Amino acid sequence: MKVLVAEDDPLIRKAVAEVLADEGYQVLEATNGRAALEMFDEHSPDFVCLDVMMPEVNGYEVCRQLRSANFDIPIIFISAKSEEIDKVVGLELGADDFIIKPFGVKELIARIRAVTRRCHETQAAPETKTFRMGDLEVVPAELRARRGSETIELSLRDVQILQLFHQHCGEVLNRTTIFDLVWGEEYFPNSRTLDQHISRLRKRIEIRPDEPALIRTVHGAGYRFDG
Amino acid sequence: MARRQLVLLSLIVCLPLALLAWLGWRVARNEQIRIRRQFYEVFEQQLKDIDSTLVDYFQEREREFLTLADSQSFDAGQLRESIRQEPRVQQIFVLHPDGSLLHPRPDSSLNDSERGFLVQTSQVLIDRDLIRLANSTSNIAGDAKVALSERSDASPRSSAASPTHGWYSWHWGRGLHLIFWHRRPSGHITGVLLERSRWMADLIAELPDTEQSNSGNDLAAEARIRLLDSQADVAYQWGRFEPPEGAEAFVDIALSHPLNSWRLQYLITDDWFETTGPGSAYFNIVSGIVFAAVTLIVLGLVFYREYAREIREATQRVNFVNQVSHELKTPLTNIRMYADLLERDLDSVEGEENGLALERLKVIVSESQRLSRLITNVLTFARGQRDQNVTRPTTDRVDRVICRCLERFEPILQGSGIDVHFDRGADALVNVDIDALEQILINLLSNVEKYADGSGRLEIVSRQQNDRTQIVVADDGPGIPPEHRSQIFQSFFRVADALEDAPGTGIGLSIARQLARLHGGDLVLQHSQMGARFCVELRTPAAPDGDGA
Repeated sequence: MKVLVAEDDPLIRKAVAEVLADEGYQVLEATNGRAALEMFDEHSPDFVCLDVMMPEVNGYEVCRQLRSANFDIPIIFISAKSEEIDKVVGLELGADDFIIKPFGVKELIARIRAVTRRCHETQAAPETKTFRMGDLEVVPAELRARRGSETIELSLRDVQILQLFHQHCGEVLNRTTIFDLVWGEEYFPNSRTLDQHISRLRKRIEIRPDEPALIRTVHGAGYRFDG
Repeated sequence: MARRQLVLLSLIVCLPLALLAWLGWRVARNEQIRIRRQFYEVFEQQLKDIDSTLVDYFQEREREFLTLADSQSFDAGQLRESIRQEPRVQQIFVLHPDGSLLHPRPDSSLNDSERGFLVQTSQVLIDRDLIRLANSTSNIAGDAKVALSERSDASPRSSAASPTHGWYSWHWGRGLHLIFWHRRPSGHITGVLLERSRWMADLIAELPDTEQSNSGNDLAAEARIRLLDSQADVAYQWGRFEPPEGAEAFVDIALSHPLNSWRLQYLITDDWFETTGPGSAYFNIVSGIVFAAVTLIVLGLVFYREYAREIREATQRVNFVNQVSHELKTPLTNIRMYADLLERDLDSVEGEENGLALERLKVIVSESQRLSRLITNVLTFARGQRDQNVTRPTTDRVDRVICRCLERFEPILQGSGIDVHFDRGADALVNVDIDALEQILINLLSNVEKYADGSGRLEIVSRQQNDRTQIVVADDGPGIPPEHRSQIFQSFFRVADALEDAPGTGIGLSIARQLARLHGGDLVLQHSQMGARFCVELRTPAAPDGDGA
């Protein structure tokens, strides 16, 4: 999924981009509204994060132009203005959600996942079919997995990784393959990034993360799901 | 708001003004009445003085005629001689004790004057009115002076004094005629009929001149004094004031005997009280009221200006706090985001030192979260002041929102040694304003963190029924002292005495309650054996499109 992030504060833009990339999105960064509109034309992203206050063309204007050009993609505003009137204006312009500054990584992730779920609901893509991994039921459309009554929140990346292992049940997948298939070819592989990700994922989906039952490490080769 | 204050202010100014005006009017009126009364007394005294001048005149005549009457024999020639010598006497007559006229005898030869007298006095003599009066107290001798006060219309004053002489007045022809009578020890009565034109001229001579300016009596100069006869015709008047037709007299007294059918009137101009002394007293009162009114209005304006200035400054302060809070948002977002990212990085790196670094980082994260909450509260409060808080419900599960909040507070609560027990019972998909609910819960949880530090347990119970959701947040900390229970939801109220060192702005609970009410519910403090127990109730209509989970 491609996400366009338009934010004039470089630090926030970088952090948001990093979090989104880590979540499994392909991130496009724009420093102002005009650049955002140009990038949109060029890359047609799946959804857009817009800062309201931006030089040249502000977030409301970008939203208005996208909506008037009939693009029905989710738009999230990142705003320092928590005034209700701004929310109303934004929603009337067709924004799907607001992230109000100050926010942390967890809030950002929660909002992004919620919008992604709504994307899946409307698009009903074939890759969103529910599947089982052991006692775990993965629901890609909801970015969630369930074990009994327990619900586990997943990122887009987590779902992609789990889907990959599910499709290649019993096969050993080496790091490069996983990178190519999940992160994409343009992403420079870093073995630590993948290991970190797998480690975090295990903490959430494994009953005992120290002795993983679903995604097992094959020393010197990679990882394997045995079904 | 400002309109209400304006109305209040004008009331505060107008009410005392009206009261003052009324009191002033009362005082002025009383003052006027008092002054009028005083002047009435002064003028009345003047009239009485005039009256006593006239009384003096008649007393003088009385002495004269007493000598005259006493010395008279009953000889007609001698009597006629006496009449000629006395210009004030029109006729002298003598009555026999049985009432018959001894002089002038009707059957003797009479001169013109005597004939006229008989015609003139026939009524008096035939009716024996005079003789009755003279004899009414005849058996007792008395002081002659009392007779002056004896009324001619013979009012039965049973005085011990029995006069031997007195005045008799009656109306005939053009007006009042006067007779002085004297009863001799023999019972004969000698009467003296006064020459009317003469005594009237004498009286007028006793009174001030018509044209005279009455030097030494300024009051009379501005007024007019009238002497009215028994027909109420003006017999004489003086003073410079020309009263209009039908003017009412200010003072009106009857003259003393024997002219008791005559009147003395004191007339003054209507505007006399305004132009002279008493009017200035009235002016003083009016100017006093005007001064007080102006002072009140000026004070009101000053207070209004002060109030408006304070409101303006307060608004500026709120705007400033708002502005600063907005400015803090971007750096705070960066601090929180990068702290979160660093925490995540450290999390995945194995190592001995990591534990300590993570601990320290958690402080940064939790403190920046605290700062975020503070800013959010300040901004929500400022919006609430402007009535701009509105709910924006989305679809979610209440329990999920509670979990998220607890997750955020978990490290802090654990650090404070508080065990969290969450009894879930609100897992239906409902329409709820997540931001508002989070803010309510966060305010309650941060109170638990602040005040229930070190005490064992935090219990959260969520329940749903129809379109209502109830969440109870209870701790077993020190609780809220009973005397403060009614105040804790007021803005800026803090239970400061007991918990001086707990940080806070005193707006958290007020905001939480405001948001709960905005959400069609309420936030109340429930009675509990131990600690504080808050109950949030929200209106949460079921979402039409449940996902069945």
